[in-house]
Amino acid sequence: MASIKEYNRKLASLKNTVKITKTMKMVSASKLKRAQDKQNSAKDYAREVNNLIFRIAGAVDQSVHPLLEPKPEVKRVLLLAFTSDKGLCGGFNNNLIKHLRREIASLEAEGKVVSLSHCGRRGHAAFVKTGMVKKNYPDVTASPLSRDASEIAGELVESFVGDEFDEVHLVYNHFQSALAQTPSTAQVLPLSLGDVAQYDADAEQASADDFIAEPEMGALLSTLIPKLVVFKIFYALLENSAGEHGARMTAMDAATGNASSMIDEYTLLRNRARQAAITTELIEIIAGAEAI
Amino acid sequence: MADFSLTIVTPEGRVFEGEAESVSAVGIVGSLGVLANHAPMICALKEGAVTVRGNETLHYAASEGTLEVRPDKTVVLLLDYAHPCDSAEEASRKAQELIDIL
Repeated sequence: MASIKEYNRKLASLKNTVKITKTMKMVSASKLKRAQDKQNSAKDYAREVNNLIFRIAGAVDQSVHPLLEPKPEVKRVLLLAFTSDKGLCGGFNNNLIKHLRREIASLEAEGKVVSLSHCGRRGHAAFVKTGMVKKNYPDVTASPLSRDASEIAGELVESFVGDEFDEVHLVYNHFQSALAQTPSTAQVLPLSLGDVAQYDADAEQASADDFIAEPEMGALLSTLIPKLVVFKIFYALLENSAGEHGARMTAMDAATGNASSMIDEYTLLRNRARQAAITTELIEIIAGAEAI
Repeated sequence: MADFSLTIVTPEGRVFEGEAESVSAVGIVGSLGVLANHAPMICALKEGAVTVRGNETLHYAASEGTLEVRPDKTVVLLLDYAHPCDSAEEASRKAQELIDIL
C-alpha cells in the first residue's frame, strides 16, 4: 500500500487537473455560444444573397456560369478538409480524419486522382506525409473570418476554372449539437444552385425593367455566384469551429467527471491508509505499555 | 433631409441597421451615392470606403459586394467584409490594403 504522503501528492495533482479541465470546459462553452451566434449571422447573409440571386435570376436568361457547369469527365478531385488547430477535443479530429480516409479510398476505387487541401493543423499533420496535400491554410480555423474564406474560395475557383481539378468537395464536421458532430462531405464546385437557392417565400422575381442595374443583370449575376462559394467555405469554417468547441466542452466535461471520481477513490484510499497507520501506532503504544 | 432605412450585411453579422440620410460607396463603374427615395437599383461594388451619413457619420473599409435599393425604398448593402474606421481616409487606405492582401 502506498503511503499517505503519496496519496496526498496524487490528490493534489488530480485537483489541479480538475481545475484545468473545468476551466477549459467553461471557456469552450462561451466560445461555442459565440460560434453559434456567428453561424446565425452567416445564415442571415446567405439568405440575403440567395434572395438577391433569385430576384436577378428571373430577369436574365440563365446562361451557364463557369462555376455551375459540371466537367464532362471527373478525373481529378480536390478535397478541402476542416479540422481544428488544437487537440483536447475528444474524437473530433480523429473521426474526421477517418472519414476523410474512407472518402479518399472510395474516390480512388473509382479511378479518380485525389488531392487534399487543409484548413486546420490536425488534419494537415495527419496527411502531410502522404504526398497528396496540395495546400495547407494555417491559422484560419481558430476564429473564422470571411476574409480568409474569400481568399480560400478565390484559390479554389481559380484551380477549378483553370482546369486543375474537375470537382471540389468540402469535408467537415457537421454541427448537430454540442454533443454530436458528424463528419460529412459536401460538393462545392461545380456549384449547384438547387441546394443554395433557398429564398424567402415572399421574394418576388424582378424583371429587368424594374431595376437600374449596374453592370447589366447577367454580369451582376456572375459576380454574385462566386459569393456562394465564399459563403459555403465560410460556413464550413464556422461549423468546424462550433463543432470543435462543442466537442472540447463534452470532452472536458467527461475529463472533469473522471478526475472527480478518481479524487473520491483516492480520498478513500488515503483515509484507509491513515486509519491503518493510527491503528498500528496504537497497537505499538499498548504493547509498549503492557511490557512495562 | 429625408431618411431611409439602411442595412449593411456581412457574413459576420449585420454591421449597420437603422436610418440614414445618405450612403456612398465605390461601384464597379464609379463612385455613387444614394439618398432617400432612390429608384430601385442593383449595383455591384468594388473594394473601397463606404460612408453612411445620418445622425452620425460612419466610415467602413469594405470589400466587394452589392448595393440594392429595393422597391420599398429600403437600401441593403451585401458585403464580404466591412471594418469600421474613424475617417474616410483611413477607410480607403484599409480597403486598399484589403485588395493587396487578397
